[in-house]
Amino acid sequence: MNCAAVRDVLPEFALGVAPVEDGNAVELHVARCAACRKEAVDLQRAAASFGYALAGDGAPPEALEQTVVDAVHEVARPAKHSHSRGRRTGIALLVAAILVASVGIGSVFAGREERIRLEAQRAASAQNDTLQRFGGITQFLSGHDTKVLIGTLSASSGGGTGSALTILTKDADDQVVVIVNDLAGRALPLDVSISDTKGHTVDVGKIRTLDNGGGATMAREIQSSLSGFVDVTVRDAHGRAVLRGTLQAQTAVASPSP
Amino acid sequence: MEGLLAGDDAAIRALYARFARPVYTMGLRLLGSREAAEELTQDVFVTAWLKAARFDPHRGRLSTWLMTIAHNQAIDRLRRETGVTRPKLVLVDEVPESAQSVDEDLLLERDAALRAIASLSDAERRLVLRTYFRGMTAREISEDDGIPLGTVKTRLRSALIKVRLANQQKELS
Repeated sequence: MNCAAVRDVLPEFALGVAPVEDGNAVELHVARCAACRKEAVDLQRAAASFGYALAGDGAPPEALEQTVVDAVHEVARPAKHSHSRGRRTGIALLVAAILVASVGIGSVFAGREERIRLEAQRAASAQNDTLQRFGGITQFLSGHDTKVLIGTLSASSGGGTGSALTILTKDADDQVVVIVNDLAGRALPLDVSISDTKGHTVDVGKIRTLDNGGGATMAREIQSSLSGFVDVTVRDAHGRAVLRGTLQAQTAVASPSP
Repeated sequence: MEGLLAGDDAAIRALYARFARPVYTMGLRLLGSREAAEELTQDVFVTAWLKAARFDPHRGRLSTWLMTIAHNQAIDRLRRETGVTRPKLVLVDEVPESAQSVDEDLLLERDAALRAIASLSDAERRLVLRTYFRGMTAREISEDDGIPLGTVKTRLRSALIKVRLANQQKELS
């Protein structure tokens, strides 16, 4: 996108309603173009003036403060205390996810046979072949002009684990793979979404059934670009976040902490 | 912000005390139910924690950053939940000032909001309301109103420049 095209989109971008693919292109452009960056910041400041233009209608309920504090603590806790373990577990799961991705994307897998196969992959990957598999996957993907981001998902409340990855492809739809575990008893369907750094969200889809282990695997193609979309959230049927995680470039996770 | 990054209880509560009300108001006014407003508030503060390291004070105030997160999340939800009846928008210049908050940052933001609204013609105001508060794209407005897409974009740009000039004049004075 050149300067003229970016300037054309900037008002909508500043007002938060630019189509996702245009917004991503603007982000990329303004990162390297000082003139357009200044224009973008100016228009965003102007648009932000409307953020406080709505008349108040009563204070939030008192109990909401504790709910918010608990929610932040729940998200903060895994990152502070169990990062390494979660990351290693996630890599094993992600190998399975990437293998699923490499044989075909476009459907939701939640069947028992598929889960058994994925669990087998998970066990196998735990036997010191994780990095070898990543090597193969890297080779596979490098021939397809792709970028892969992966990450683990941690429980926002209660139990549960998960992993996710995105595969960004220049000449085809981007793809998302999400694996969840230990979510038995959660209110279904589970909603999976992914957000960018500006808080924009793309719905990935719904997980309607879980296997006996409370797990499921979802693989989806997304029509719009997922560039910049790194925060994955899984919500139960009540809208409560049950798993969250942030994706990173593949190389960052392929070298796990000891 | 450092306290928020560390998940510090007092920092989270301090941030909540300053910004929960405008975030909740945005949820209530845009999404139309207390449940949705509470969900939005919770999501915004969790997102603020997740993205705290990316906040750059040189690019804007904390209040602006937080409300941008709230706005983006509310608009995404509006656009996902099509067909839902939304409440009539009520702006700050339509009701008496309640003076609920004495936070200087919030008073500055409210002042800027009033100035922004006052700087626009009625047509520009309606246009901005449909985009910023209803999440309509320029193309959707173009199709709804039967006017060229380029015209809608030009008018949006013109409206934002007016708001920017109004804010600049205030800063200079």
